[in-house]
Amino acid sequence: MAVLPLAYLAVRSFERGGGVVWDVLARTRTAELALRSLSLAVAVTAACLVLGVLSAWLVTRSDLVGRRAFGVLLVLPLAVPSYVAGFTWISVAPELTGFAGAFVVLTLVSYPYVLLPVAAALRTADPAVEEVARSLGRTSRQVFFSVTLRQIRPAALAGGLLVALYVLSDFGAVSLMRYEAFTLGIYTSYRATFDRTPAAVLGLVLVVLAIALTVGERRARGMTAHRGRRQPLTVSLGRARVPALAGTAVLIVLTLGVPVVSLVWWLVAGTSTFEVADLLATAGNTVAVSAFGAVLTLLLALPVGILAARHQGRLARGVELASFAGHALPGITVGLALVFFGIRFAPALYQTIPMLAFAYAVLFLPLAVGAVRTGVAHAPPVLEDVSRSLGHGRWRTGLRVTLPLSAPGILAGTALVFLTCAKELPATLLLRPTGVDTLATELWTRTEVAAYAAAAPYAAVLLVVAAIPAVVLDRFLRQDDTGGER
Amino acid sequence: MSGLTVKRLVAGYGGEPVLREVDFEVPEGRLLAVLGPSGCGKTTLLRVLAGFHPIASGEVWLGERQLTSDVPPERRGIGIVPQEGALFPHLSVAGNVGFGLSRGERGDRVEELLDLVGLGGFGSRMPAQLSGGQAQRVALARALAPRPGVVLLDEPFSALDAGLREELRADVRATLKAAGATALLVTHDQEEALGIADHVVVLRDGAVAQFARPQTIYASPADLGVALFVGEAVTFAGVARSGLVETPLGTLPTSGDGPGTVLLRPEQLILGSTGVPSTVDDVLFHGHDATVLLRLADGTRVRSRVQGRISVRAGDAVSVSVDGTVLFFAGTP
Repeated sequence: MAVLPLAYLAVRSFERGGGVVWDVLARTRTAELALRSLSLAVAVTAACLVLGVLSAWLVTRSDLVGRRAFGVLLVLPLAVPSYVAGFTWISVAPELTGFAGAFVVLTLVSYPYVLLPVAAALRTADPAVEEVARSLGRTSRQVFFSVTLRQIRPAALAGGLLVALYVLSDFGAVSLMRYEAFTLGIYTSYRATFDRTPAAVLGLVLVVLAIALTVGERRARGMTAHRGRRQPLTVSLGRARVPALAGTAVLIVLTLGVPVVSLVWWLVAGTSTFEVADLLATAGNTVAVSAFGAVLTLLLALPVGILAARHQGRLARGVELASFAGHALPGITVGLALVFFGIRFAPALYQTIPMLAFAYAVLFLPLAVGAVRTGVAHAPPVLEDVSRSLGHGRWRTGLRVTLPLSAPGILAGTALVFLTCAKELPATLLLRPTGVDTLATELWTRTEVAAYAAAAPYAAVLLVVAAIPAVVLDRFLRQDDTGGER
Repeated sequence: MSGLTVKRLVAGYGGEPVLREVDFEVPEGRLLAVLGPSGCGKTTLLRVLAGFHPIASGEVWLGERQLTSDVPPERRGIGIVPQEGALFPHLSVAGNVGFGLSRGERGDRVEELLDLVGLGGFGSRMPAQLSGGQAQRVALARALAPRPGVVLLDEPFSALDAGLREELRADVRATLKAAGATALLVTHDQEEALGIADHVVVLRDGAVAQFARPQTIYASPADLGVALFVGEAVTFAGVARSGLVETPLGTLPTSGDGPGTVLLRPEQLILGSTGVPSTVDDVLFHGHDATVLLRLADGTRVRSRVQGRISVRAGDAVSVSVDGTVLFFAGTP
């Protein structure tokens, strides 16, 4: 079902013959757009790899003062939507636009995609391997480059892939920074002319780029590191302590300080003319649309997730692959595909909330499937066997054992999908019913016309909304730590 | 409680039979151990009995009632104790033990069972707060609570460390006896099977290799494979003739005739001043006893198990004699 709109996009592209498609592809503008998107993706990914690996090592392996607190603070930027970060940066430094602007903003919001998997890999990698290398005469610096980096390579590459996909499909930051990347090109092309074929073709090219990246990363990933049971030793920073601390602090100021301070400044000092009623109405729209999207996504994800949890092997691997493919599906392409699909086959649904909810479902299904699978995995089949041997039938077992055990994970996943829907920009922009504005679209529209003060309250509410999944998931994971012991 | 009878049971996956005509019975109130290496069909047997895996052919009887594949697990009256307990993590200890009881029965029965497994007063704890051994006791109490016809235990001690395992083994046996329960325990640990059960089934490649009392299995194994599986052994090739067989340890009394394999248990080799001369290669001290590695004059290496104080050291010359009759399995191995 997720493939359907895309297939239609392909059909729509070739409808008027391969010649038109070729024309669009052969335009220098297409090549320019691709080059811009790719160069941005490469630059941001490289910067994120450096920042992510360094910060991950600092919070897991060094004796950095307050590394636990830094560990949390360094991940938080993940909760800042790129267009909110973009808005705060241009409102602070209007001269920061184009490639530089997009580069700075995207790097600052997406480096945690590298930090998280690398920190996990550093925590679980077997320290014995490093100790053996030391005992064979390597210095600790040599060990880092010859052993540790190799151990974390798969994690760093997986994180790098997420960053690259995020940059390729990002619409908010590049549109606010007026950097004409692929996504913005698609949007402009869609809005500018009545001939929508070029937009469809460009949308497909974007998907192809994303898939190529995913496949490339799988090839390069290599072996996963051997897991150890012991806590690795911490390395004393020595003379590097002050620069490390200062660097981390600067990073946090840039990623969190700038957005928060600029928002507060605009809220307090701005001669804003916003209406509380408008803000509330928009927030209400956001909640309604996102709730609809989250529930639909969950309903579609339940059967797939349960199947994937209970039947290991090919299906489970398929789901894992699909979750990466899901990251590779840019919101703008899905939005566009549904626009075409809706106009042709379901005009009654075009620009309605159900259609928008369906777009969310296509975009975030992999996220929900993952959550359902994790949830159901908390209710191992042996517990169901025990329950049945104690005289309870299938239904009562489901109600008394499987459901209570898997509900927290599924609920956390649904909350995550809900909040991701609330942050989504490009598909919402294309598919929302006329007159229905969400926090994301309002913020975007107002920033487009440089009404920074008017945009600030929307950004503030969005930031609060976006910070919630971090808290919910953190809770869930913590509970998992203590409850999972057997 | 009632006895369990299994007749010519066949079960498998797809067309491949995993259990091939398995026969045995567990009299009411007795404990049977099913012993076999991994992959011999133990787990499949448990799943068939509990109703999670269909019977291809053959019969399973619980007392006077035949359990066909149509009887679902919840209507069999067969309790299970899975590996590592598998307690419901969202329920308290009391909630776990009372899970199979109706609301009215719970209170007293739960307390009674917790007392029986030595965990009185633990009712309000959560499973995550229990040690491995405690969790296993709760799992046993949970299985016994609805007074099942039979309790099936799947390698219940395998996740515990050695000292705890021995203690829990004795407690579980006592609990099952006190409850008058009929029980079937599967394990790959021969010491565990021989130590806990009233009867033992040795399962090999899905078929019963021997079904007997533990003492019989150890003293008169059905074949060389069973003999080697249930304990340490010293073996020689030899030819038996009129009740005697020639071995590097001298001419020994045995039964059987013709060429075959002679088998001794290490505790039958006695160190002293009489017998065949040998040199001590090494002594492996186990605490309660020791294994002495010996080299005979012709270079043959054998091991002897010695109880009590060990007076020999590597390099010493000692004489070895054999105590009792030795086992003889005809045929070339």
